[in-house]
Formats: sequence, C-alpha cells, structure tokens
Amino acid sequence: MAVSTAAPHAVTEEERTSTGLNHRMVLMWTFLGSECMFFASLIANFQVQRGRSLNGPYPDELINIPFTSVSTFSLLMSSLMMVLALAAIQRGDVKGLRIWLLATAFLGSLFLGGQVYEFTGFVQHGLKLSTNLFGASFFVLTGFHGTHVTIGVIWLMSLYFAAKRGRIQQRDSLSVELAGLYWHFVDIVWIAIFTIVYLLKV
Amino acid sequence: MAAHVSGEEHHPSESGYIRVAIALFLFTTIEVIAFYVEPLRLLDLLAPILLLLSAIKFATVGGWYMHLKFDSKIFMVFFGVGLALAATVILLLMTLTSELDRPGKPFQTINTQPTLQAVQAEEQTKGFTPKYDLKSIGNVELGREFFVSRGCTGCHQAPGIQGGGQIGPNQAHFSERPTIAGGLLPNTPEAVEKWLKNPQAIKPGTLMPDLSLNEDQIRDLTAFLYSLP
Ligand code: HEC
Repeated sequence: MAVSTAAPHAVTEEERTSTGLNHRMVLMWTFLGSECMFFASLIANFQVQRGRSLNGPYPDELINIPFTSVSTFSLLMSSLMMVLALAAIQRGDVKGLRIWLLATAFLGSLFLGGQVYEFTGFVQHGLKLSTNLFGASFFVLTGFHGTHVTIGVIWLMSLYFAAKRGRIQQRDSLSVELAGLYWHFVDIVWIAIFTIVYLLKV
Repeated sequence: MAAHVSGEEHHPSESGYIRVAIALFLFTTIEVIAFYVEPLRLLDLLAPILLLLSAIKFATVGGWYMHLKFDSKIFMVFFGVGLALAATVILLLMTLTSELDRPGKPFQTINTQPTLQAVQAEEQTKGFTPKYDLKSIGNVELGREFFVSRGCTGCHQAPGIQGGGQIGPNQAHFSERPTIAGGLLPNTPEAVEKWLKNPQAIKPGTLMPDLSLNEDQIRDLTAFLYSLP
C-alpha cells in the first residue's frame, strides 16, 4: 500500500505497519465506525417511538426550531475552526493552533449551553426521561450526543493547554488530527439528529 | 482544489475549508427554511429534501473536514462498514415496527388487530350491557391497556386480563357494586374518577397508592372498569 509521504501521518522510520497506515488513525476510524452503530441504535429507537407517546408533553409543544438552528450553526462552524486549527499546526503555527482550538471549544460550549437551556425548558414543561416515549428516546439520544460534545471540549482544551506549554509542535499534528476526526464525527451525528429529531415531523 | 499550503498536496487549502463551511451553512439554512414552507410538507416533499440535504452535509464534512476523500481508502472502509451497518439497523427496526409504511401513527392505531385480551374480554361481555354510556366516559380499549401498563394488575384482577394480584378487590362485576372503597363512595363514574385521582386523599392509609394518572387515563380507566362484566 503506497502512501504519499506528503501526508502528515505518513509512515515514519520508527513506525512501519503492514497496512502502511498509522495505528492511531486506524484505531480512530474503527472507533468512529463503531460509534456510527452506537448512535444508529439510539436514532432507530427514537424513530420507532415517534408519535407513540400516550400522554404529553408532545414534541410539537416543546421543540423550538429557531433556537436549535442557532446552536446547530455554532456546532457546524466549530468544525471549520477545527480544520483551521489542524491546518495551522501542520504549517507549524502553534499560536494559530491555540487560537483555533479555543474557538472550536468555545463554539462547542455554546452548543452545550444551548442544550442545557433546552433540557431545562423541557423539564420545566413537564418532560422528563420517564414521562413518555418521546422523553425517554429524546433525552437518551440527545443526551448521549451532548456527552460526546462534552468529551470533545475536554479533549480540545487539553490540547490547548498542551500547546500552551509547548508540548505540541508541527511533528505532533497527528494528535490534533485525531481530536479533529472525533470532533467532526460529533458534528455529523448532530447533522443527522437535527434533521431527524427536530426538522422531520413525519 | 485551489492553491495548496506548504506541501499539503492532499488536503484542501484553508480557503477551501472556508468554502466548504459556507456550503454547509447554506445547506442548513435551506433545511430550516424548507421546514417552514407549508406546501413542501403537504406534498410530502419535506422529508426527501431534508434527508438529501443532510446526506450531502454528512458527506461533505466526512469527505473534506475528515479528509476521507484524500486519505487512504481503508479508512473509508472502516467508517463505511460501520455506517452501512448503522443504516441497516435503522431501516430494519423501522420495518419491523411498520414505521416505514405507517410513519408516526400513534400507538393506539398501530394495533389494528384486536389483542388476545380484547377478544377474550369480548367473549365474556356477551350478554352484558354496561350501566353507563361508556363512550361518553372514556375509551375502554385504552383503559384496558392502562390497566396493565399503569400497574393496576399488580393488585387487581379483572375479567379478560391475564394474571393480576389479590391485594385489591377483583374488579369483576364492577358496575354491580353499590359502593366503592369499602362503602366510602357511591359507585358512580364521578366517584371512581375522584378515587383514581388520589385514593390516599379519600381514604388515608388505604393500600391503594396514588398512581399519578392524568385526566385522560382516569377517564379511560373508569370506562374500562364499567365495561367489566
Ligand atoms: C398497591 C396495590 C394497588 C394498586 C397498584 C392499585 N390498586 Fe386499586 N385498590 C387497591 C386496594 C387495596 C383497594 C381497596 C381500597 C380500600 O377500600 O381501602 C383498591 C380499590 C380500588 C378501587 C375501588 C374499588 C372498590 O370496590 O372498592 C378501584 C376503582 C381501583 N382500586 C382501581 C384501581 C386502578 C384503576 C388501578 C391502576 C391505575 C389500581 N386500582 C391500582 C390496591 C391497589
């Protein structure tokens, strides 16, 4: 398997692998493949329980499209910040890396804040995990996604502080790339959730 | 692809990334706008449009931001297999629950076939005319479901319902009972509803707990109780 040596995670002297691919990248992609199945089961569950709650509050009464659109945009744009962070460190620009990492984490936290606000509102309107099928499937699905975002923010911030202490240089761009993959994955899961849970009112 | 950054031949440039972000932004805006366009919904076009747009967004982030388009195809396989299995799980589950043919129909209308219990109950009700107009009280069928799902069977038995505990009275011949709750209340729909709302308030210390039922459930359960032969 010929891999271009220009790729940042190309095989280095120390690391020869039978596939010619970096182990950490392979690990990350396998993990993300399994995460697809994880979220699929939750999405399928939501889809199957849709419209089957015997008592309210029902989704129509609670879901606020304009509000969630805004937090969707902030998550979407955080992905742009993330690729810019990666591009910066691949150029060897540690300062740029730090700025963009911070921007990514900030937009991610904005999204999380939105979710906390949304959940609080739902609970105040009487929707809890155990209220009805909507509550159960909605909170489990979006809650697990929110947990992923939270882990992502922690990961980004730890990279930020590592970079601040000078522990991330151009040659370590792979560490940023891996965090980026995870972050983008969380973003695409939200693309699916936003469409299926919020916009689709079949 | 536009000019590339310092030997980074295999990844898009920063301006490329920004163009991708603008596209993502636009697609999402179109999705949100489509959500508010009533004719699209009426023509059943909303779902296909939304699914198509989000699939494009999905592929865009995966292809450009996650570099799947530029990296080794093996990564694509790892991710793709997971994704394919994921899609299969969703479609299979939706087919199994006939969510694909009859999307979003409320639970009640899913069971078009009468349940075994409903059939048995029908059998036993032959020759029994309820004392009240049950339809004006509530939905007997839903009441029967609630009787099981809200845990009444933990303590009560009822004709046509399998099993049932013996802590509370057997609800057979319910409408023939002159009083309920051991003589505290007359046996009328209003009194039964009051009882179900909060037994403890009426008879403090009774073994029947407050089951936090809502108004609809109470009406349906009452109709069900009076339907019992
Ligand atoms: C924890 C056990 C328990 C559960 C669960 C329970 N009950 Fe009862 N129920 C009782 C007992 C005990 C009585 C007798 C109360 C008394 O007279 O003190 C009773 C009495 C009643 C009565 C009055 C009947 C009469 O003749 O006195 C009705 C009606 C009734 N229950 C309906 C229900 C319904 C409907 C449910 C489910 C929503 C339910 N119960 C759940 C224990 C229970």
